[in-house]
Amino acid sequence: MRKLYSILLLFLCLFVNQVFGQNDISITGKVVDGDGQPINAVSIRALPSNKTLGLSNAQGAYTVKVPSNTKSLLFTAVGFSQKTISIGDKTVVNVELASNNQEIEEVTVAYTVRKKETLTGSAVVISGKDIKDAPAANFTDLLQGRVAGFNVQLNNGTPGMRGSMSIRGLNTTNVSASGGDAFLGRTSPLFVVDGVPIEEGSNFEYGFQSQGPGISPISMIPPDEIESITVLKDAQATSQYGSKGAYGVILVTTKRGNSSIPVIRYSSKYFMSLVPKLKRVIGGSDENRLRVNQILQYDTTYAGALRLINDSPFLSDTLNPYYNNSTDWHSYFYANRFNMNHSLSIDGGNERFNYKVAPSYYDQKGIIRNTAFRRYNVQSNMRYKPTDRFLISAYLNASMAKNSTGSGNAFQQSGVANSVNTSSLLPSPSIYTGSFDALSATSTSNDNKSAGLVTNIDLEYEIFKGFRASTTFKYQYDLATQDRFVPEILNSGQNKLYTYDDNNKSIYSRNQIRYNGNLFDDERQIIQASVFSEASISSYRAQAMQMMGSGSDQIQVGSGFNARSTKGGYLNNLSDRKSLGYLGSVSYQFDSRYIVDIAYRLDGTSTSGAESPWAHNPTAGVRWNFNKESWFKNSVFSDGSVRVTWGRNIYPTGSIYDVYGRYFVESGSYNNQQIVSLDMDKIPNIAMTPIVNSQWNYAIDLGFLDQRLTLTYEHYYKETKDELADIQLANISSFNKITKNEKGLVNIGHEVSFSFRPQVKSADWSFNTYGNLSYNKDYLSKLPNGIRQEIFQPGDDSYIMMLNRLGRNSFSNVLYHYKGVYQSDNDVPVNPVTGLKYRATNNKGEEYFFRAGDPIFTDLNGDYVLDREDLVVVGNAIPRLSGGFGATIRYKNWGLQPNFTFTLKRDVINRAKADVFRNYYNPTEQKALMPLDFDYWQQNNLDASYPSPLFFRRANAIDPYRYNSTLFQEDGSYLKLGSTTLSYNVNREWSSKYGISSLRFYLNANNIYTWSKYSGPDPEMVTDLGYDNSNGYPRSREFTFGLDIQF
Amino acid sequence: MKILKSSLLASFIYMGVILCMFSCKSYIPDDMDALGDQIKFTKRDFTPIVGRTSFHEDLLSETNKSTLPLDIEILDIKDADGNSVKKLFTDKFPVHVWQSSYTGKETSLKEIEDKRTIEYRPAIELQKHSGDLVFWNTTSLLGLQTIPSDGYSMDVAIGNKGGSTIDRDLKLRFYKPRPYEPSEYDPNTGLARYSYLWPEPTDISNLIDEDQFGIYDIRINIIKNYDNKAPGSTLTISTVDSLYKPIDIKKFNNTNFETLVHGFNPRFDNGKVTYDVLYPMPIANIKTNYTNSDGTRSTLYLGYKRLDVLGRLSESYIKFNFAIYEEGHWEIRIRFAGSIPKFDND
Repeated sequence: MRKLYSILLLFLCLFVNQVFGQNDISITGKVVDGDGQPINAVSIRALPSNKTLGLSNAQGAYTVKVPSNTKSLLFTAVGFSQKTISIGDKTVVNVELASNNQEIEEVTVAYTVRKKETLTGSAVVISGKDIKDAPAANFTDLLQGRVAGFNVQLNNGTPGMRGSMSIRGLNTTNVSASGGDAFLGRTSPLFVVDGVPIEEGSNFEYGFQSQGPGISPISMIPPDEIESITVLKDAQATSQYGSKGAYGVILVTTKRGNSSIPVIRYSSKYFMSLVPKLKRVIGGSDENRLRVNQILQYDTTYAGALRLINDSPFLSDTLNPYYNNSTDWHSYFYANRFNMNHSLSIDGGNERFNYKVAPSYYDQKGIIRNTAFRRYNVQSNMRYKPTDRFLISAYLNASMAKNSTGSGNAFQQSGVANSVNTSSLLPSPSIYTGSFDALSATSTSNDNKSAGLVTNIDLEYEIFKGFRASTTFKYQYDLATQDRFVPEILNSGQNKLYTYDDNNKSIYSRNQIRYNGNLFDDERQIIQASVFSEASISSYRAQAMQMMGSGSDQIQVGSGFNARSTKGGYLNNLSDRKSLGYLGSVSYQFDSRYIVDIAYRLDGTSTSGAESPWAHNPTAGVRWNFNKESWFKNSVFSDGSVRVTWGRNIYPTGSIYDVYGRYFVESGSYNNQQIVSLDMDKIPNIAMTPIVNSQWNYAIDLGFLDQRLTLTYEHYYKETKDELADIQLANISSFNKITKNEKGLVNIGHEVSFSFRPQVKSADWSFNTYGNLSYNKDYLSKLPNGIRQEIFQPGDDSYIMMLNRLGRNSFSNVLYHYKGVYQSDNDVPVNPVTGLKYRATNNKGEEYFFRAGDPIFTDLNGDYVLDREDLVVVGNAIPRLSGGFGATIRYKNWGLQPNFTFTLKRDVINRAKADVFRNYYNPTEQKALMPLDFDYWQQNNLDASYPSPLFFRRANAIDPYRYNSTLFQEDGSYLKLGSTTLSYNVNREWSSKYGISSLRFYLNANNIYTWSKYSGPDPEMVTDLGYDNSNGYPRSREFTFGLDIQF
Repeated sequence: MKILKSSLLASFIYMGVILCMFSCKSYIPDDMDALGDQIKFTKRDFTPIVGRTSFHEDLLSETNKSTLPLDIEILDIKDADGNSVKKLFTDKFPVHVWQSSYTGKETSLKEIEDKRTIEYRPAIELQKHSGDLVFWNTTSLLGLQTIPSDGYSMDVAIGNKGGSTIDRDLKLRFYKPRPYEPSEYDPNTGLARYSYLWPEPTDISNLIDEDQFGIYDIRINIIKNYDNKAPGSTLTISTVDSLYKPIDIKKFNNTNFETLVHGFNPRFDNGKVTYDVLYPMPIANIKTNYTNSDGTRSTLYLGYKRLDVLGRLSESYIKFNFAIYEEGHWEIRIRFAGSIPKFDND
């Protein structure tokens, strides 16, 4: 019914429009830019009626019919400052528009367009054209160093995967573990693309958590199609996005048509991905001799050494061709790759009606063999605005991505890392040589597909002047499949077939009523009020099937199979979530000088407990544009404002099982009947609430010298509370634990950003710089069960230990304090009571006394035993200072855009360096050996700075190169020369002869050089918890040749 | 002037922001040392033997919720009647403490002595940071109530800069002194249960008498010579027959008398062998050539070789694991209470 009305209205409006377009005078003219070049598609509007009259053509010329009551004309064009010219009785109006290199003036916040100078919250706008030159699967990677307070660490080089990111410091204290590594809990910001929230889903945070391909819907958005990106940081700006907006909101606006003649834009990138510097390894007979000598010199007895060598054919049978090699494993896995990226966009139209269709293709082969990411994407949108009162817009984005992850998962390449770490003595991989680990990394067929469809439709109608009603509806469907087949020879004689598929559906709807008007008929007093309701439903299902041993590699469907290890069905990570929100907001402006925003939002989520189903989230903000005060006129300030906001925000957390408990089908039976019983592991917590974030934001914006220099300083105090923690219950309660909202943390930070555009005399030159710096410090403010501190082991590996202590940064490294090397046995301290030397214990409980050549670790509690009670608290893995700076330099048609990013004050555990030594722990293990170019303890080098790694009989107990030692904690600060572009615009006079309205060539280099004192491979390839991730995927250096053509 | 005014204003605003910033910070908890509320001693009942040094380690629970190192001290020790007996942990006595590690390879008494030094320490000592509990051998000087008495209860203060707690009623129940192990005396009553000790059956091998019968009735006594007031400590090892007539110890011809015990200057007199030694023996719980596999007892090995009836070389031995905790002049007497071994060839 509503649809019918809309269509009726639509026709009505068309008719009305026709009726009024008569009896006007005609004005002609030409619109040019500062260089005298014509500007196409300049929108011309009549003032004060604010009626759109027409557009300029490709030669910049226009002819419009002006209504009789018109006093002046308003010229607006994308990329240029708008200009108002009073017409008087002129009939020819020629206009020159100044190109607009300043910040974008209008921002859509909380689904409402507002001038940036009236915003009380914190929003940073990045133009799509500033970042699009570097090839990237994810646009978020391109934002590194662009936004103060938005910390992006590109710690993952897998094609199609994005780096880690967080807005305004650390957002969670929860850690999840995968194998040996621990990762921060998910705190991805909310993405709102063209007005609708896009579900990223928790599965895509790192990829390892999902069994599927791990491609985020965010990587489906081609960077070329992005018009602008707005990063909302404070609670006032984000709160109206309701649940899920607690970790910040990133608004993405895609390009839309704005030219009466269809414009065809084509851009292509050809890029080389180069392998970064890899570890040096020892090969061939050198390696063999090194191993044999180590055994002969460092075994406890000579006879034992001979026996060990003779028992290891790997070392003694050197004439056997299987052990007589010098294989360069790096060359087998890593290679430079050539990639490309094409995107085409066809758009056209005007303010009334515009459309766009943009297909694109992105292909990236990883520098590790058998890894790739390929994306096909069609973006389309249209908008129809028959009158100023009615607007309909529709979006349809369809995308398909394929990736292959080799033997690792989407996040890590542990398979390759293991194989690269193989002794050079073994033969290169082939099915005859049995290097199956390596072979499976490169020849497992692994076919992953993700497809996504996002459609949304907006309707907006102005019921009477200033009073608008709008509705938005979105449907999103994401699908992922994975097919993997491991042939028999690579899987211990049984082939393995694995298929996986998941789907995520979400429906979103928003109905809004908005009022814009003046109070008391006073032009200076503007009031904006809005009410909306928002509902979303999403559901996620995944199923998998694994079949083992089908009998032959040729039989890839089930006939006979190994029933014991064949399994399948729905995975237990299925979810159904619903949320409902209501918002009321009022904004009052007086003379654009004093602005007050107040909003109140009510949120219900399906994972809130019955005791507190609704979260109440008020926000408020004030802004004072003091440069508009009369006594401020004519000062050096061209802009000046103060903003203060406060707001509260929630993030749904936990699952319905935490709230309502869970019944499950028991494996046993009673009286031959299946029984269903309550899961006694967790007691339901009906008082569960979402995570609550509240934030104060103070900001000063200053502009000097006609906005050539702008400065923004922001300070925030952000409190996150009610994070979940499992609390163990006393065993008398019959349940094991309860999940409660019991953790909290506080982030305090400062952000400074500036832009500077010096005045250059010559018109050929222009120069623009930007820079930003953010300092963040986090404090733990609450721990479960009223404890003040806890040292815990977040992952499976006992060496990663973390300290949580109230009032301190959330994650402190807890390490053994390394003080040097025992030069002789007599230096080892002795327990005066027992006469026993200082000792260490291995995981089997065997005790080993320290000896000469062993590391000196501080015995904190003085019990002459090195154990967990001797861990000291040192270092903070979370970067405290981060930012970036860059410039745009133009000379005539040439442009140069260097960009730098930096991260300072971060402590990193150099696991890569530890592994160099640790590979000597066991000389009979077939791992790669790297040269020991270090000052380590030997009989003739007693006063060394590193302990001896060569005492292999005791290495596992003493563990001299344990990862969690201060020996490997290093300063992880770095300065990186990121994306740098050199571009050339071909003269339009020349190109227009061939029908090309714009032609641009550029060269881009990405991830070129990093300045750092860090001795590991890359200070950025570090997990969020500060451990060097040498098992991860190295980031390639990329050199791009690109071409943008517009017809 | 306007510039000045506006700059003043800007700095004023800036000050305001800074003020707000610091006012918020007061809501964050202070970064203080923490003391977990579950922290306590996991072992609550200690039963040391008077006169022996014993060492108890790894006693504290839940140390991961407290800021380390902790400060731990004995607050009070009360006897069974509830009266405080401060002298148990305040009076200091001279004890031997190690300065460098005993290896079992020392070649003189002096070399061992140099690794130890004498310090004055309380007989019951709690290590300040680790909470390790030491009962020194000087507990023998305190006149303690021993089992079957209820013993003593100890209160311990555990703390750090974040707070402190008192762990009450750790039980200390002392066994009566037993200066050597194994012992004939019952640990609870202190009365002798047997009149002699014996080696483990597996520690006797191939001992055969004149009539080719196996010898199993071996009775061992560990005797302290209280009359010998000579300075230093000695250990004498003797073998006697059923009538206490000495058997020359040198007949055990496969015995290495240099390394029989970790003593020095062996003297053969009247069929016995005497060493200058240091007590306790073993001097530290470290595995050496003189001890059993875990280093808790010294091992005595007396063996001999002879040709048997068929002319084969046969090896025979008797082993005995023991420990002596008191200084003085001790003798280990091995009595073949039945027949005596045949040392000659057949």
